[in-house]
Amino acid sequence: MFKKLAQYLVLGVFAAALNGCATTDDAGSLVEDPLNGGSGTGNDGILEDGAVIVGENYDSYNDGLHLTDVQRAKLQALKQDGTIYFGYDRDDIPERYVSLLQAHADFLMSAPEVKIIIEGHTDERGTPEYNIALGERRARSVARYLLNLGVTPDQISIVSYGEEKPQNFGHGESAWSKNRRAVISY
Amino acid sequence: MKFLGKVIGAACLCMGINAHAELNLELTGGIDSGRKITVVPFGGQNMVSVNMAKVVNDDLSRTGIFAPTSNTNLRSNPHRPQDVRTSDFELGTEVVVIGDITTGTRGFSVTYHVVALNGTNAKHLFGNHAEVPASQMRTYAHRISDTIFEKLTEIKGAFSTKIAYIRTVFGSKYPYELCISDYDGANENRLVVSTQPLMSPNWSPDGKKLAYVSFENRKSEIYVIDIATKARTKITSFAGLNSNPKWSPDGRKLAMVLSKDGNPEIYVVDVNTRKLSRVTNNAAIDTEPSWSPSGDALYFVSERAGKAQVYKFSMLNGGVQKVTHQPAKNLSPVAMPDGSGLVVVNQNSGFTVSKQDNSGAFYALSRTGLDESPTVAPNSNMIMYSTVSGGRKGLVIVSSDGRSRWSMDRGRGEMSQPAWSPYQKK
Repeated sequence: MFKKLAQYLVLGVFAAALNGCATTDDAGSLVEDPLNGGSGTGNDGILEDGAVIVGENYDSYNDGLHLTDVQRAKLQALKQDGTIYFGYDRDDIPERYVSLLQAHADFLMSAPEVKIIIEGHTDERGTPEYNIALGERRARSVARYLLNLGVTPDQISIVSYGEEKPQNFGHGESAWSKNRRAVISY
Repeated sequence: MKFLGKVIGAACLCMGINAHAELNLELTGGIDSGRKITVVPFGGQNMVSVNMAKVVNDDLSRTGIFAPTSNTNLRSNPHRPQDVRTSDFELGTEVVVIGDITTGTRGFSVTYHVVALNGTNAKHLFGNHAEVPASQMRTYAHRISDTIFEKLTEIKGAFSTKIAYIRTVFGSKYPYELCISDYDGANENRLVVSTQPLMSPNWSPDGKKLAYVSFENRKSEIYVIDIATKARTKITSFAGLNSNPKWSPDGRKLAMVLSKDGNPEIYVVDVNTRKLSRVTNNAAIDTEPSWSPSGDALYFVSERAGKAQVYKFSMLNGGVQKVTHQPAKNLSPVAMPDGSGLVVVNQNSGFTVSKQDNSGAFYALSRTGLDESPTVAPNSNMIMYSTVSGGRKGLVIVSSDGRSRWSMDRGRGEMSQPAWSPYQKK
């Protein structure tokens, strides 16, 4: 598994070089994705109707890490409690998540090799493109908070899924309140 | 289409639901109703699975320009021009379409005629004949619609165009599907399926490729897929957002949104050289780029002055001008290909697809509240968008005059983010 990840990383760097995309900009430390990988072409499967299958290999960077039993137990617990819900069109973190975020920060500082992806999500109101931007603001907001608590930038990457990955598939406020969120993903 | 006649007769804001299960046509009416046309069931119809008259009838009904009258319980069902009698059709019927299907050399032999009714005179306007394989009957029906529409309105028909969209079937192994189909949703073809979101399909001007966004590598990346070969090319994979690719009218560039420098900005990438040019540079969100028909300008949405409004960037001199002025937010601009104005999503109490004419006149084309992702047919006659109704997201076609609105059969799951193709090369 780790070998595959290493391949991905090499391919990722290669793709970056190919695309001429130097990612050493000032905000790079915050937005750079250490799990960037996958060639995206070549070994894709094909369904019976000819559709190309993508997105199947989905390993976590942390799967290959050597953690102590205590750390592993802590990681499992944090995985169950890593969601921050937001107000409509808001990206400020509600007060009630202070202890949750402190717990994640404490763990990440105690295990500096562990990396997280913070996923930003929105409800379906607003255009998909606007929501991608809003989701990124939410993810960035959580990332900034963890950085301020002392987590190192290279442990954190962010991704915005906008309204595309709802936690609740419904189309009303009860669903929307569950979908306006950021998820700390290990 | 049973109630259509009555609806038009009432000449007020009213609705008609037609009799076919997969159709949901709503005529929003108006003082001046559409031109009355009757498409008579084709002779020999029982030999083929595609209801030719219905395809033509439905195509024309979506234009807002025509108001097809019911073709059930007609006093006669003529299949030859000389058999068309004005007295057999509803008063005010302007044109009658007739057709005949017989066994042909390559499948079926299809003949159709268009006859104008004027007082007691029935005058043959035009007609055609074609040998059509069984698999192409639907395609040929759309071509008949194209010809009729073009001859009677002098506007090129867009019934043979396609759409791309995202189908989402939550709970399935690959919930996200990038699909193309005929403009009316028939003949769906899945190009890509993914465990992770797919977004923002956009057609190359030659109609052979789609640009789109994929999260298959746990980040947003812009890809181009060749529709015929399904070969995929990754275009950008910057840190942060890589979203909303839009082909320039000359097919050489892709406008897109990147947030590699910290917040969403509009960029243009040369597809061949991969040279990147930055269009916006602003601390506020800049997103949703959309080319003007000539390619000389890019419309985009910005929060630079507070609420999201549409701005126009000149590719010629770099000037930026604000183009929407309503107090509510305006999003997702699409320039009408004929230059008649701009389609936007207007956010007031809900989200409605609206049109701003060049005069500045502004009117709503939808009224369901969660309407987004407008896309315009290449002839500017129809606009498609996504909406939520009955607890599911699906696609709607509204005529650009707002007179006719039609909900597409959703099939599995939900449909969103439609993109109308350019005219297809024959």
